Amino acid sequence: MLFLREIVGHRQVINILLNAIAYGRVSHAYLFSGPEGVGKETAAFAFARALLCSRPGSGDACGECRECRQAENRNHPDLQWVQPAGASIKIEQIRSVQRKTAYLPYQGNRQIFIICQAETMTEQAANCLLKTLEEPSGNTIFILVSSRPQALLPTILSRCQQVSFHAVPVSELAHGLVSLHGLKAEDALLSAALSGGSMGRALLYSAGSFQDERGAAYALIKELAEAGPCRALEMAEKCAESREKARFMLEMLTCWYRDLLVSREAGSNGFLYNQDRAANLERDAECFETSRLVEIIENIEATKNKIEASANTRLALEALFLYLSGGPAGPGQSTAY
Amino acid sequence: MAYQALYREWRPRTFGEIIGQEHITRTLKNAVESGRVGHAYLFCGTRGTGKTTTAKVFTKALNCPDREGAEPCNRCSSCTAINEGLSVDVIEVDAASNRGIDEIRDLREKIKFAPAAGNFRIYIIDEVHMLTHEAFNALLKTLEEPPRQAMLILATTEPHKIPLTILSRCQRFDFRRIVPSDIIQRLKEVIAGAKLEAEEEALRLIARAAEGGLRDALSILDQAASFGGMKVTAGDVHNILGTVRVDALSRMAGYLAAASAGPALTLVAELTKEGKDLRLFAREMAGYLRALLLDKLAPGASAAEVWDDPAQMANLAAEFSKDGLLRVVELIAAAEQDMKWSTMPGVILELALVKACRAEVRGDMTALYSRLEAVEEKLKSHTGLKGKTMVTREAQPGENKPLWEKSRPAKAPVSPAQAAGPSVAKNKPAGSGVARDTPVERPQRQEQGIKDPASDSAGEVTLEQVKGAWSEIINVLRKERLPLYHNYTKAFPLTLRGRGLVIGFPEEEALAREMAGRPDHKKYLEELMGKFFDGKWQVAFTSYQGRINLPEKDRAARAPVVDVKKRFGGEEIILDDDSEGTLF
Repeated sequence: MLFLREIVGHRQVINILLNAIAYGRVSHAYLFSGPEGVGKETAAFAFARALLCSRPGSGDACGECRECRQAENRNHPDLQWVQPAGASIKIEQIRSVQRKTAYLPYQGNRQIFIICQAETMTEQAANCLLKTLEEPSGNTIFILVSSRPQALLPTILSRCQQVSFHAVPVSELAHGLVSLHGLKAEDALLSAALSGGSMGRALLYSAGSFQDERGAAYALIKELAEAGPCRALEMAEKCAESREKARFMLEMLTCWYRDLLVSREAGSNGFLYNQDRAANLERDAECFETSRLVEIIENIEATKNKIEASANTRLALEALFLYLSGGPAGPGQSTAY
Repeated sequence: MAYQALYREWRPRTFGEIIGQEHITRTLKNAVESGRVGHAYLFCGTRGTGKTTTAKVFTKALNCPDREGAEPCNRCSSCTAINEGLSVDVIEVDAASNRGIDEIRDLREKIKFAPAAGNFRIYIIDEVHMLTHEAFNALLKTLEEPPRQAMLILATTEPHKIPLTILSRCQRFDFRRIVPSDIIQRLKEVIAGAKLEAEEEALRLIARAAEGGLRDALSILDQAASFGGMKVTAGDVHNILGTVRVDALSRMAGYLAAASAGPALTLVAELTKEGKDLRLFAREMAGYLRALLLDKLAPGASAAEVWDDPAQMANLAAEFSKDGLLRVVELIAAAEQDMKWSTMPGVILELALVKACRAEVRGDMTALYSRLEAVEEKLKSHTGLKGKTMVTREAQPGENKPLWEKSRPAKAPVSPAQAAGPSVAKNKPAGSGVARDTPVERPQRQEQGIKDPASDSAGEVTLEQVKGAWSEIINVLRKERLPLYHNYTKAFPLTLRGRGLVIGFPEEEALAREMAGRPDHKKYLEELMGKFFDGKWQVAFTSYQGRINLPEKDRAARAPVVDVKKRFGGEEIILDDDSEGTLF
């Protein structure tokens, strides 16, 4: 359980929240939005605890009072969580929230509802929430958390104070990984660069066999460049064993080819994902046409989308690998170029 | 009293405070003053434009005993009760939560009662688009003729979801999006009232980001006030919205105009480092480029005003070509869409920028068209120089003898493909040099197989005559021997010596040539030729390379097409690759 002041990155956002508490300008509805795994829910939880704390110091929770300890163990009666029941948040769940808002808070002077993955609210549920969200009775605070705010109704959006979390800059993220999770500095930097600014993903990457898998992915790229169609198909079969693995593979592929494109267009100047392989990248980048690289990345993205949309993983991968096999001027390159 | 969000605290309480909707407030004020009030209203418009607010002010005005003109006093018991949501005569229904038929039946029961204090008993049904189908229908009769002192106000953001029978029973008012200047004006009022301070630039930013919703604008202002400790600066607003300063946008536009991908990518990296939301950046960028486009199409238009540096924008706009700018706007706008759903939005943006900078990297057909045009252009000038090696689009008898006849007598080792210029030759595999020579040699060999039958000629027949009759001959062939006909779809008479005819097949149609060359088939054709032109004919077959455009088939063959066209309308599509015959 983190305090607001401890959260990695998001300085501005945290300042907004701390100031809101300190100046007594807490709105009744917030929407925490931003990419997955950047710390929205962590922040929502910390914010809720700070709001409930009986002795807040400069906006943050004290961590010692009864309220804080109850909140930390998730059994504070005035802090309610709404999670999707199954795939979505149903209208019944919202109706029960509405009923609860009519009562006074049990302990403190506030009642807080954290609605996770708010974008999964059904259309009925979202509309049902509208009036309550605009003018809740008593001292109720809603915190909506969503990684895809664009999927929410505009009428919901306009009723909330939108607190947008952005990708955490690489250096801050690496720093946080080192200080909070005790990683080695260079590992932390690499995971941070590859994570695209998401703490959740950086942690995933720095755990366990990530380095091995990444190495395997690059070995695969290298082999693919020289493989014939038969070998490419074999490799696709191997990769398609699990959807998770395939997805990870594709992400690594995107990173690699994106780096090639960047180092071809802008030289390798510090914003590559695979900073540790800059030399390899620079060499390989010479072999590709820009148009070919653009095509490749588009192709990988398209394959990823297809797999997300539950296409047959193996078939999708086979098509991609056949396209990629044979190096810079693979069979996919049209003779017209 | 606990803190209230600005948009709740500063909800307008009189008609005068409602901004940007004069067309509505004036109508309603006049209705109140003259006492000509309808019994059912529908307020619709996008979020944050004042639907619910107007409904509340309207009800206050109707029930207020000492209103001033058309404005409610906001002091009497009726007004305060309505402001606090405690009035028994004004009932606000949340139709999205109470959306079933039972709730509407309940409403029908209670609407009969006379008002407790005021003149009217008013139901405000908010978010009315969420009522179920049955509920809507249950409401119809009440809505058409409610009890004497009852009144219904429906409010919604989505009028298209409401049945026509409901719409036709209401007086409909459409709320407009509020223009930035009005939003700024209202923000200033709120700032003065709430004892905040704000920079002019910050207000402009907020107004732009609010996209016509006043509630959005006030939410952002609220947040900025929390962030900056009661003082709102442009930097704070940028931080809150995750947007970038205009100079980053104009820098990026400059890079795009100069088609330099490197600096553009570096700028994206900088923005990422600052923790900016790249999707928002893409959206802003699209908006900025759109303003540039507008400036280009209609210089001096007001589009640049919100972006605060018209002179610089005009300069930038001048650096782009119109088509180039259009293409860039399309690319960035498309990228913004894709970024919504991608796990790696940064890559999508970078890709779009590279594509925007590299005109040749385009996945679409337009690139192909422009390449094709370039090739055609080259081809024209090329053939123009050589003069004689023009490939005719239609083999016209008489004028301008076709290519294959010219090259043959001269024994020039130039095949039609070579003469046609680099565009055709380039598409051939490199090893086709050998294959290219064969068609020139082969006909000669086969021509020797034809005995010169000129001696027993009954009359001179020219190649032109054969060509003229060729489509007829093929038509007969089609009627008599359909299977054989398909082999002849691309065949064409090449040379004629006396009664010896050489028929050419395209090089890739070797199979068709072989079929036609079978003894029985060959004999049939020789007899057929005899029927058209007297005498005993001999036929030989050869291959030609390159492209010969067959003369258009005669009207008789096309009659069905004309007929179809007449009956169904539409256009006839000629397949470019002449694959008509192989379609079946």
